[in-house]
Amino acid sequence: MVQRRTFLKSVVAAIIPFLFPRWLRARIPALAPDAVSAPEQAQLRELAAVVLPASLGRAGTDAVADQFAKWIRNYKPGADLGYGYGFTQPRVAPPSPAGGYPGQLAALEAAAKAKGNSFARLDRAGQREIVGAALEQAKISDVPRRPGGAHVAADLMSFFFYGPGGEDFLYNAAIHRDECRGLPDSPRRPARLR
Amino acid sequence: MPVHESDVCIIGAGISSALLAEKLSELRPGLSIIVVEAGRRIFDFENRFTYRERALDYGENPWPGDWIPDQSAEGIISRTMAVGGQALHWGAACNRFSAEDLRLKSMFGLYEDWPLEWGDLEKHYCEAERRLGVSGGPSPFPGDKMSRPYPMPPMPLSWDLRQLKIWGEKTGWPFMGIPQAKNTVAGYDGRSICMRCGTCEFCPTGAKYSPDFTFKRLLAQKKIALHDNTLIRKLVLAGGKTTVAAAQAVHRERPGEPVEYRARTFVVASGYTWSSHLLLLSANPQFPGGLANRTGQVGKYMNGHAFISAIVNLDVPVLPDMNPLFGLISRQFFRCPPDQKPYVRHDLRIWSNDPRVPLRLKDDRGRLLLGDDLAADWRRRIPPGTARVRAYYDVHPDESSELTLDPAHKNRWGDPLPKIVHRFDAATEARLPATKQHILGVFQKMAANDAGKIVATFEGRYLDHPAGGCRMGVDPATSVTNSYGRTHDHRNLFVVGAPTLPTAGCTNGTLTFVAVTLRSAEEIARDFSAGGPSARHGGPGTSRGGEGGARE
Repeated sequence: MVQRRTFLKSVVAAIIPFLFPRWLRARIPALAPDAVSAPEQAQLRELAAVVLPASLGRAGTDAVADQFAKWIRNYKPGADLGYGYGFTQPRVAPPSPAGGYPGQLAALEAAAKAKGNSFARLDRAGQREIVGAALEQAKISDVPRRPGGAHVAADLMSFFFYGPGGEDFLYNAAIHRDECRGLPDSPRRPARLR
Repeated sequence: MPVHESDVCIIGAGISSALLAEKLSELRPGLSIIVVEAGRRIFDFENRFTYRERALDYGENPWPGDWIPDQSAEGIISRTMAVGGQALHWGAACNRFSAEDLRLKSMFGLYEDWPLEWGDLEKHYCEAERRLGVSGGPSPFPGDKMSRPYPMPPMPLSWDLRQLKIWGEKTGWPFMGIPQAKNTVAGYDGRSICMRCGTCEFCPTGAKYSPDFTFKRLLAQKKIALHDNTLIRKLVLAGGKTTVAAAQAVHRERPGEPVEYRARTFVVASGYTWSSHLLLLSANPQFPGGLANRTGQVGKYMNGHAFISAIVNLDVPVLPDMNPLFGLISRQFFRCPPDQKPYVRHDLRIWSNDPRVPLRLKDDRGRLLLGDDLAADWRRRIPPGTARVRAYYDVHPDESSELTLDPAHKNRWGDPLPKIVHRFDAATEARLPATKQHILGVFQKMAANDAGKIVATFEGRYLDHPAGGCRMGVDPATSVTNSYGRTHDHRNLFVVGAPTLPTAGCTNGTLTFVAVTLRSAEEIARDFSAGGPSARHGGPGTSRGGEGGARE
């Protein structure tokens, strides 16, 4: 049965999400080798400022970009994904979707250069135009349910909007689906975020 | 060759095994019990939050290594092979069947009656609910009367379920929170209170009943020995007799070293797939079709319940993911008047759901949508709320709904693997269109409330909560075991839990698997006090080639 010490550890672990929001936890440096270089991480931040809601604020979009970079770093190709109920074939994690990101980020930069500036220094309309063209070229019409590598801009949006923070943002409600929320608040409507 | 001796050898370490071992050790404290499991033990509760994080972030298996690569099958099977079995993953729904399930022949002229009385099963439901720690409230239907209330109060309905209950009950059908083996009271059975983590398949706090807890406790109390990573390949009869003398096994990490288990009583608790499979693998000249299979019934009447789901958009405001594995149930259709044609029985469930509206990158005019624009466009297109509704409906197996050995697929030991094909009996097939029409009509009636609209329906392509293969019954010609799971052909061989069920009812099966197992435990215990195999005090023994014994 659950040992007292084990239980206390569990409780502490359960409380951490309440003390440190997910976006803040994401800032803890990852131990895994970097799969996203520092310049690319800076580009991710610029891209996040274009494709994610501006209402998050620049600090908010930066935090999501950093969290996405951490997600990429900690991705484990070949990891055991188990098997769905009723399915006989276990699955393993496919290669990281990030393999094409450096090329895609470089292409965005090249498109910006063609307009006479770096991506970061282009105005927002110019940035949107470049991203829109890249998504069009990649034949992406909806935000994918999970990052799949088709384009880094789409994957960054997928990471946010289909994550718990994105769900809360979309519904404007503190659902906090991935947190251990306890039973007492359960009957109440989640608070509005803004 | 290591030889392990015990009074009772339980093959398989799932939920039925855990509760059987627990009850046997209480009824006969001196009994030596060895539990043998092909998979490994995953007793690292302290890592649950880490596994949960990986599962949420990357979809990784929250029970890493809970399957054996070459121990698979064709058909719908559970891949779980670990101490705790498929119930490691369960959502802990603890619905009871109803008395009608046991009287299909006598009430409706369909299929078969179960060989036990409802009152007897109901008593064991109460015991199962106590041992599993079920939280729930009373059903409003007189036919669902419980002789003992649930041991814990019901889980509070989350805000979304409160909206959905109001919506559902506009039909006039009562809905309630589903009974679950999750703590609503801190400390029940040493478990923590539910913290609503929303990941009940891998509960990180230990609030949900999990068989590994029971095994850990029994091991700490030295009431059982647990041999994991050990695959039983064959049961062997005593020379010239019909009693089982030994189970031949192999340790997966020491494949060159066979292992043998000798016991007074053997209990096959290996779930709906591997129980029949082991009996079929154990064929010998005396029982050429496999053990307990003199009349060819092993592997027959594989069953489960079919299901239909729908997604309904509502005018009622509902948010998803507030307590995603907790839902509402109505038992309105558990009963069917005997003169109603066609016969139809089903449960009815409601959950909140994602609206399934994509986040599109262009609006209707082809304008690019990013960031706040994209979110605003999505908010404009979603309904105020979305519900998922589902009905598990009662279907009855044909004899040819079966598990067989598949010579084309073998594991690394050369044993043929199982193949499962589910088939309905003729009466079920004949009424299927009417059954589906009825259920879709029920969904339509629900959707009509508050201007709801069904936007999608899904028909299950498999039978859920599968069971059968060692059907219990009175007549050996049409069944494998008696009502206690004792095989007709071998006095000291039992099969317990899911494989013994003649039908799978029309709601989640685990509580029933456990209830019939607890009933079997009483019969097995009686054997050790009434002239049957006597209990040896001193626990399980181990010997190597007959050279003395040693406790694990």
